[in-house]
Amino acid sequence: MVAAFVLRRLGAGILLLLTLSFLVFCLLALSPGTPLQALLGTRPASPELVDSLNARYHLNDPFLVQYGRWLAGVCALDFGQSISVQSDAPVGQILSERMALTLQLGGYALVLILLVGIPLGMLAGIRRGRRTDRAISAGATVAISAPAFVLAIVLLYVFGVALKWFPVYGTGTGFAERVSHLTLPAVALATVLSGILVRQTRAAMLTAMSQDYITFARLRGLSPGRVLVRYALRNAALPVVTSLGLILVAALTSTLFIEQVFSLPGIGTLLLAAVTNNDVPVVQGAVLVLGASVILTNLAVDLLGLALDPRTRFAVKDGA
Amino acid sequence: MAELTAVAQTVEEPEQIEGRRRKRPPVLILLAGSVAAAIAVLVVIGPWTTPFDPAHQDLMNTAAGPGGGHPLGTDSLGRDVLSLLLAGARIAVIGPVIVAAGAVLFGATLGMAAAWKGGFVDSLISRVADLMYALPGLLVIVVIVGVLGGGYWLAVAVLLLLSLPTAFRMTRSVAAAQVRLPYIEAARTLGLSVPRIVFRHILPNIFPTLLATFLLDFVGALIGLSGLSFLGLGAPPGTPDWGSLLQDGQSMLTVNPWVSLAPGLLILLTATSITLLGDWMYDRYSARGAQR
Amino acid sequence: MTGIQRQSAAPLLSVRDLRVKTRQGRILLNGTSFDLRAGEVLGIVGESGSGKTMTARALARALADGVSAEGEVVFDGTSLLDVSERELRPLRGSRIAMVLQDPFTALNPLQTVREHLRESLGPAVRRNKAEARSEVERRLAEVGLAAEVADRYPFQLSGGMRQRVAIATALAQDPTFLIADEPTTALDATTQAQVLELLRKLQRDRGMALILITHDLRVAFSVCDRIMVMYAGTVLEHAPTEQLARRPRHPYSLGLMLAEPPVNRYQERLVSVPGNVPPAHSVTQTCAFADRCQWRRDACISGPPPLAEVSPPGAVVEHHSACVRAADLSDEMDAAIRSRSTTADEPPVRGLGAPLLQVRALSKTFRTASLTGRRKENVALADVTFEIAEGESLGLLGETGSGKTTTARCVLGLSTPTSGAIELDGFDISDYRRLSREQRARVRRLVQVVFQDPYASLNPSMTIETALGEAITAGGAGVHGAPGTVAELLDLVGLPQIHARRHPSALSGGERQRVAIARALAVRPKLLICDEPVAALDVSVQAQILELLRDIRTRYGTSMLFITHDLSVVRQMTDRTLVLKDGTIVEAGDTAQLLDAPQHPYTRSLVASVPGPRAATADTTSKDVSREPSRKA
Repeated sequence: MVAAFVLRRLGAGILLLLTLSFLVFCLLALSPGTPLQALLGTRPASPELVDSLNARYHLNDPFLVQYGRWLAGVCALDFGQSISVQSDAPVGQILSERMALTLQLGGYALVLILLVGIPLGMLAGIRRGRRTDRAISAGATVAISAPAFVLAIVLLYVFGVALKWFPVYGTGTGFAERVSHLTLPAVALATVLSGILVRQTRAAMLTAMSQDYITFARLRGLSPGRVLVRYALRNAALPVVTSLGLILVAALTSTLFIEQVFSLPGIGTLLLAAVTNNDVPVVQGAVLVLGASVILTNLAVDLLGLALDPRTRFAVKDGA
Repeated sequence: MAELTAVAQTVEEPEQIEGRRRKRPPVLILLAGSVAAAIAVLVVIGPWTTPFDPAHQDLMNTAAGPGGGHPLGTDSLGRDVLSLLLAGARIAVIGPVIVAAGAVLFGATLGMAAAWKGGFVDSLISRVADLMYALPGLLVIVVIVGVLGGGYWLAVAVLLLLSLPTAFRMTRSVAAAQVRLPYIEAARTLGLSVPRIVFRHILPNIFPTLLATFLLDFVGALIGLSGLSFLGLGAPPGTPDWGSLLQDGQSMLTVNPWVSLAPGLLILLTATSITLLGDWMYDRYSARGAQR
Repeated sequence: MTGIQRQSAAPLLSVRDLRVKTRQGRILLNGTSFDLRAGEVLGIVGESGSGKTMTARALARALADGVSAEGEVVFDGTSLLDVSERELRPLRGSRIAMVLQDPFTALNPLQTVREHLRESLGPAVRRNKAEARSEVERRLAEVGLAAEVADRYPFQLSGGMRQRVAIATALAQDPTFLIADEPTTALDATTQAQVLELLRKLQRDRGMALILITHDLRVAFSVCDRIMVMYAGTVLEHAPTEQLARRPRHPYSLGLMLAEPPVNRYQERLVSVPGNVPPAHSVTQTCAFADRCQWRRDACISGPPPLAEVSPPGAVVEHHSACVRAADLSDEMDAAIRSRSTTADEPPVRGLGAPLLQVRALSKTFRTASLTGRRKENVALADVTFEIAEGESLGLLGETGSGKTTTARCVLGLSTPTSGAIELDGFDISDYRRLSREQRARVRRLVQVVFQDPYASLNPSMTIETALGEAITAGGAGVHGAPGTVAELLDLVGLPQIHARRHPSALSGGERQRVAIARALAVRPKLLICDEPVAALDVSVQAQILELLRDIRTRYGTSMLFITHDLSVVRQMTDRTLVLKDGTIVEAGDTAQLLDAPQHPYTRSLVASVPGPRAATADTTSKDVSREPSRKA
């Protein structure tokens, strides 16, 4: 049952990616600049050079043929060559290098979120209305209102420029250096996302804590620990899990800005560079990777929801 | 669909604690309100309050720290930072206002239509909204605006489009709750016209939610548009704009950090204040609209 | 001292001067005192705002945030209000237990029934796996549930089954004292009777002390040894059940009993208590009931009357009343009770006109369509046929999910039937969308509706004047015989003119229901559909609304379709009755005949489930309810 559900969702996801890539392809065709200009760069546009470039990149083929060629390549896991961002490098390789850095940043931020963000949200929910709650909630409001680039610049200035605790740009080599280079960006990312998570967790905890089943559990003399974990936390987890898709969306956009501020060569800055330089294969590749990550996360969120909530689990079984 | 004939003799026992009384808004909200009001004033009179002409470049005095008549120093072209900030309020706010107003106007219309019609129309619009909601909006805008070569109004239009799902979902959920209530059904039974039911009955009861949605959408658009300017895809070069100023200042953090920090903090302050107002309004009124 | 048995055994629970206040100091519960002995059943009866739930929650130390209790509550040597939650926990479940009102929210949605029961068992049993397993099954059997139920989740169970599970978990450690707060209010009538019977049986088997909180005097009479009548945060009367039933000594208790419309006979004039329940804090310095009492004297409002003994000589259990005139009024009150039990009025015979509404083979199937093409079907109505003549009142009797509201919605055009025909005064209204604009406007003036929930029936942002004015305009000015102004409408439903400028939030439930009726009458409909119009109202107010509806029928000859779950409402308000079950009519007939001699087994079970005095439904053991339909996802 669940397998059928996953297959159906994956099928829909692939369809969605196809549509997405086609739309982006159309968009690129509408672009005022052409790949030819990007390829020529500052070189004089001699007819021979133009011809050879056109032939090499199939620039004179009809629109649909170009899309079909790209698609055929993708099916064979060949994403083509970069035109201008990193001339002639295979897109697949660029993507995996860039994605690796972004994932490191994301992983680092995730650790911070799990260690700080979620516990703070739960704490605020449990101690609702008291000073702890108010302080945490106020902090979360500032965090969700703060644009990622503002936060990044403030962090960069305070801890990089003024206090000189952390490096201000670059990625560093070796594990220790990498960690120190990624600390400020990861803190910035974790802060933005924790803001959202704290609010979601707190609201979910408040809702759960005010339910009749909590009162009834207490009245039966269940231990406070059991009431907190089995009743409050389990029920509060549901809405938080459902909001993870939203968190990912926020994470992707925030990453773009944070990479930009700290000049990190991640997937976000790659997309930006490719877009502004009309590098069709790279844009297509990056959109595909990002789109797939959104689709997979949403699927994972739904599966997690199924695992947590018997109601949806039975609904899937009934084929509803 | 299923009947809700809960045999509600005293299911609704109002011997509860007295409800939240009408009281003055908390200090924090008053403060946030004042900030919002101050920004609104700046939008109108901003360009006339600048100590210097924000366009005036003083190439002999670039990236200077605070002092010498420039309270926040000068930027890379020697323009007065304070003047740029004051003059930039207009462009920083007008775009987001248009985005939020448009999103609420169209989103709410769609939301009410879906709630009122239900069935196929509802599930169709909802599916599309869900799909759009799952998109990383700003990245989409970066791709579209970047590929098409930038442009402030293009960014505003795309942002408006991508803000629709939020406004739609919020309106739909509160409006759907109203549509199911007996007083709406009674109005239908009386044969009142659909526009009358929508505008006289539903709208007044969901208005606070719409206002809250407007404020929260405004914050989203403020962050989004200034972010695009920060990436060089928003406001055209040369306009006094907070996002561009922030980006320009990043290379001068060591010489005059205020070029970046001042617009950054200003965006943060505006966004936080409006978020506080929106949250407060949502918490306070959204539940009340439904009953008693 | 109040309500103490004359035999001087130490009480299990002793409550003295229990008060509940909000943080701001507003009083919700005036000083309450009573004792409860082991194995005894005390009923606390009251309408909304009486403080009965506050009392229960204060005893269980389960008051909401911002509300606190003071006074003395001693349970078996422990002063409950003075110990910390940590010290209290060993008592919870094992000595004191509580069952809440709403079985739909009392269980953890993510846990199976087995987990609920196992965690509630005593630590010794809980830790032994095999023992816990058999114990869970034994406990389920005890509340009349099959062993398979153990592996279900709450959402897969019906309301009655959930309440049984809740009772089993509350009693899992065999407490000596149980508080049941409206345990059957959210359930359907037949289920309600079964759950009450179960509670009574469990109480008797264990010799457990029980406090039963209820708004329904009949329920209290059928279960309790003693009854405490509360009103606006104050105890007005405290008496042995028999004594209260036969010789009430407080005008409010009397009024409450008289206001209950009888099930077994038609009563020509429904008695109601005028006015509304005041908030507790406003009546601390007077008799709480004085404002609505026909026997009020100056003495009643000069100070709070004490709860004084009024027992007849030689009584075993004391009888207390907080009426200062209890002694001089005793003959009058006794006479009122006696006269009630003797009057059996003939229902009026009305000349019926031509058929006004004809419903033929009405069916409605709900489809949950989704874009992916998966759909579920749910048959709400199947082949329902009936007629209402001009001037006739037809009852539609059924429980939750029977399809009675769907029928009303189809007639009102709020829902379109899947098949079948509806004809109203010559118009084919099977599908309102097919009517022309003019036809629709005329049909809208023919049929109107009054809904159950008075709180959601009126637009909270509109004044009464605007709402009624809108209805008058909607009817098209100058409809023949229609009340033409807001003032006339308010007059018609017995509301003072000052209400015109108010918003619904300033009105009580009964007053709002009057406004809803006025709105429906603005277009002078030929057919008025009443969908559980009094189900959400307090007993003392219900009769006011029922009388008003009767009055309207007499005055205008309006036909009525009365949708209800309540047999007594059907008895009082209708000429004929249809019994609806799972979307089909199982029995139809003259109301009196149908209720006096029900033919269909389902109708019989409905009639049998009306709570009556204890003698009537003696020792029937709890029925097996595994046949009760369970909810599917």
